[in-house]
Amino acid sequence: MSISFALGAVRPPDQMPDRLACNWMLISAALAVGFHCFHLPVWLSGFAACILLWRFFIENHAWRVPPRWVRWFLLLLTALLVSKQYGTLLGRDPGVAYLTLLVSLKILEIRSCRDYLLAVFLIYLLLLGALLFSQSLLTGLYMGLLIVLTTHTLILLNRPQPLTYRQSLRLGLTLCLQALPLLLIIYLLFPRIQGSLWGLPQDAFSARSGMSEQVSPGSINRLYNDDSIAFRVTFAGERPPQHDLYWRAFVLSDTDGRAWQRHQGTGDGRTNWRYRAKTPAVGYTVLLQPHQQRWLPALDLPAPLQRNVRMIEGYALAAVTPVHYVRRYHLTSHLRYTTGPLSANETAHNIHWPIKPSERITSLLQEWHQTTSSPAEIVRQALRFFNKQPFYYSLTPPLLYGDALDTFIFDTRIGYCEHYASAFVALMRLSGIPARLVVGYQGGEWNAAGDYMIVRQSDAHAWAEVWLQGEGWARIDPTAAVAPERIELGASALRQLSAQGATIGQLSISDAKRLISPSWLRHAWQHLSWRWDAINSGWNVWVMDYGREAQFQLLKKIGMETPNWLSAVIAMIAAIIFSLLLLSALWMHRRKKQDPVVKLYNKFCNKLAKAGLARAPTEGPLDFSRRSIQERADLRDPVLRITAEYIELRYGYFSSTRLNHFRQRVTAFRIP
Amino acid sequence: MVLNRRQLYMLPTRHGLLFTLVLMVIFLASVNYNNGLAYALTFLLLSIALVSMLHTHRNVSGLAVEVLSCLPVFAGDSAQFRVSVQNPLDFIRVGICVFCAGHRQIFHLHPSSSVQLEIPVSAPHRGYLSCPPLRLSSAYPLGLQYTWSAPIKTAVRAIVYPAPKGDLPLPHNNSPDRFMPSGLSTDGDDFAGLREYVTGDPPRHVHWKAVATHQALLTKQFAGEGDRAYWLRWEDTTGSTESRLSQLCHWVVMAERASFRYGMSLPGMQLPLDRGSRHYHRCLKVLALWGLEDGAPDQ
Repeated sequence: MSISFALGAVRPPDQMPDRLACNWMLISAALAVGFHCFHLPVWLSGFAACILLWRFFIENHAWRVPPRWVRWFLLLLTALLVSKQYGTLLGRDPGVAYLTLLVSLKILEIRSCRDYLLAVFLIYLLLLGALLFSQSLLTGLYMGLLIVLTTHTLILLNRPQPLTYRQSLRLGLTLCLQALPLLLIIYLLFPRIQGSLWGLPQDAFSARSGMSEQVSPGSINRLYNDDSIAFRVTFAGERPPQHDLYWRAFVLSDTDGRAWQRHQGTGDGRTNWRYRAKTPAVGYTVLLQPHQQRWLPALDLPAPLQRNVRMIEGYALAAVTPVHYVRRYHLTSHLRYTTGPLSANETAHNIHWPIKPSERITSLLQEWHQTTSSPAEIVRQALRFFNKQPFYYSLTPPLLYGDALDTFIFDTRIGYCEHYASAFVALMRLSGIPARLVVGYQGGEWNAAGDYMIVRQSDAHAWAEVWLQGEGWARIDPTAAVAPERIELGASALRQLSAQGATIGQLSISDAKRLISPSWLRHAWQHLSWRWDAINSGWNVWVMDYGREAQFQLLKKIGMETPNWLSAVIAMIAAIIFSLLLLSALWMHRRKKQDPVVKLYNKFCNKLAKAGLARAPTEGPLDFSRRSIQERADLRDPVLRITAEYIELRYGYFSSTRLNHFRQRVTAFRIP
Repeated sequence: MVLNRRQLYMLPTRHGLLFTLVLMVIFLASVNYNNGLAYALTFLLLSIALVSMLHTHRNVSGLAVEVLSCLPVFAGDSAQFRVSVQNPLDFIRVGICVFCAGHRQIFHLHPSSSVQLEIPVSAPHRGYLSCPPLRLSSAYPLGLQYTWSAPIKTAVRAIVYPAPKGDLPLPHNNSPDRFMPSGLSTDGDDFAGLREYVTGDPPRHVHWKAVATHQALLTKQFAGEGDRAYWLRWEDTTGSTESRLSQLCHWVVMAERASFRYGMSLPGMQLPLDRGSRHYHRCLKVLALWGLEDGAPDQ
């Protein structure tokens, strides 16, 4: 007899699961498919729902299982439809669609225990598919719920009797809760592998992204109503004032007069982006949401610290690879600075304006040049022009036709940051001052619940930079000249103001503040949402951004001086073994508290045992009392009474007064 | 024998292997997509499997298994070993499977309770039949792995009587004790009185009326021609030792069934005339162990 045969011979046989198991499996399957119905084609979700219902009726109302050819026909038909829908077999979305089909059709044809098992495992894969769509905290909770349900289903599949579904559910929950400490250990210590094992499909990442690295009229406006979070920032020290929070993403200096893009030339070979800091460094950590591009937002002006971060043209930071995952990086910035001189090449492409200016613009510029020749003064002139002339800030400006610059400056005079910044840069370039457009975010919302800053897509902003002799590149925000509320109060305040019908730019800051001061209800709601965001932020740090670097930092924190792959594995295995032993010691060999009645009776027996009357393990209380009385007739009364009371308390009517009485009697029992 | 860590082993089931495969797939996907939550899913499933090992072990651990006894059987039948499994602890044991010589049986045990199982073991030959090693196993709760115990051995043996076979009728030999006028038997025509019931008396001779009036079990006795006695002798049989023993066994069964008195004589051994359950089993035991090396009857 071979060993494998010997082992197989003692494996418990498979059980044929009952209706209860099947119904719980259907609930798990419905939950797993339900997550995907947001992005699956409607007909497919409907099909899966129908198939699950069909199985429900087969199981509970004695419908017949469809013959094999029907199942094959359904499989082929739906597979064909899916491949037509997506046009490909590969990728996340078609993968999930096929999995949905497989799960529902497998459940339809279930015959044996093995079929059930396969269906549960397919549900796991479907759950995996869900995680590729979202990794949020809510998805995590959903995953937990589904795992509890599938574990419960596995228990029911394995041994339906004599467990009720309640007991089985409790056991499933217990298993999952007991697994949590292990999960934590393995999750934190299992060595993370950097990079993909093989190529990712085209649709591996959701299409959502922030700003594109190209700005044409309207591209920032698009983000104004997007309340999703762009990034979160934790400051190491004090938080800089709101009007200093200019988050630089990228710098645009090439234009065709309308659209702006990054400088396409080879640059001037500058690799050394140095500047002289005028204020001490501000340290902070950015937790960036994936935007599928390379730019990394940083406060003006950053000093690069991390690996995999480059400084590119215009002191902007860029990642080596596109940001597909939540990314955390530490930075320091200097809020006041002086950049060095400009090379001829740089000057040339920063004063280039491709369109011939209109008459009106030329005369405006001439007017400015007549009063002064200093570039700094011209900048002030321009800002005064935007401030004094009736320019309005609006999130829904009229469209600009023809000579956009001329129309905006003289006719419509309504726009938002992008219009003002690009018009300002145009005016500066036409005046011979090197200028460029900077795109990024301004301000942010302070989350008091988590002590960090939330910067949303709606905080997107564009401003200008001009190069002035002696100062270097200087930030000029013409929007501030038109609508100071934008800078002081933030983009959301601006939206609230315009929603209330206030004309932006006309109110004083304190008036505006009063106008948008939240009601207590709104205030409470805001606090709640801050708290929720703080939890989400922590989730992002520990789930989405937890990679090798964070892992090594953690290992350093728990006392490993030179963390490496091997030591992490050893620590993990040791911790797993330790916690399993701990669990088995605490839980497996735990005894329930002994019944006080039994305890007292045992005390009574011990007293008799000391007198040479030991109770045999198999001896019942009545037999024991009979034998005791035979041997010690003098103890007849107390023994009979205690035995009778014991039997009454244990098997008959229990009350605490009786128990007290019993206790007194046992305590008083003495053997002379 | 109380099952504990030293006697329990564990291995994955086929479903457990499949589960491992699925776990690998999920793990590779989480590495490839660098998906933190998918890592968490992998490790959560792994942790659940690890914890369920403890549950599986706990489900069998601490059970006290004892082989109690086994009634004698004739060769060719199956011996029913009575096994008691006791759960001394206060939690339920679910889906315990007992394996013994190709037979398996599933049972559940409520907290602090015990069950008695009858395990059939085929008994092809006469003589002593030891209880084959027992193993307990369980795949509860998830069925991903199963634990099984080391073989539980026991000294309990069953006695297997020879198969009652043979075509010879009861020998009408000239025994001096053939007619026993003084003796009374339960056979015959004339009612001759009552005596106390002895196990093995035919039920049709029980004095049921007396039972109905709450008296002890009494057996009616009859006197007459039917009160016969037989000497079952080795010399009267033919063939090999085994077929002789089978024939003798057959006679014993026949004689006992007909409530005759019988004695048995084998080379070098004689069992006096008697009847009743004790005598019957004594004769059969002698036949069962005849000529076997370890056949010395205990006690």
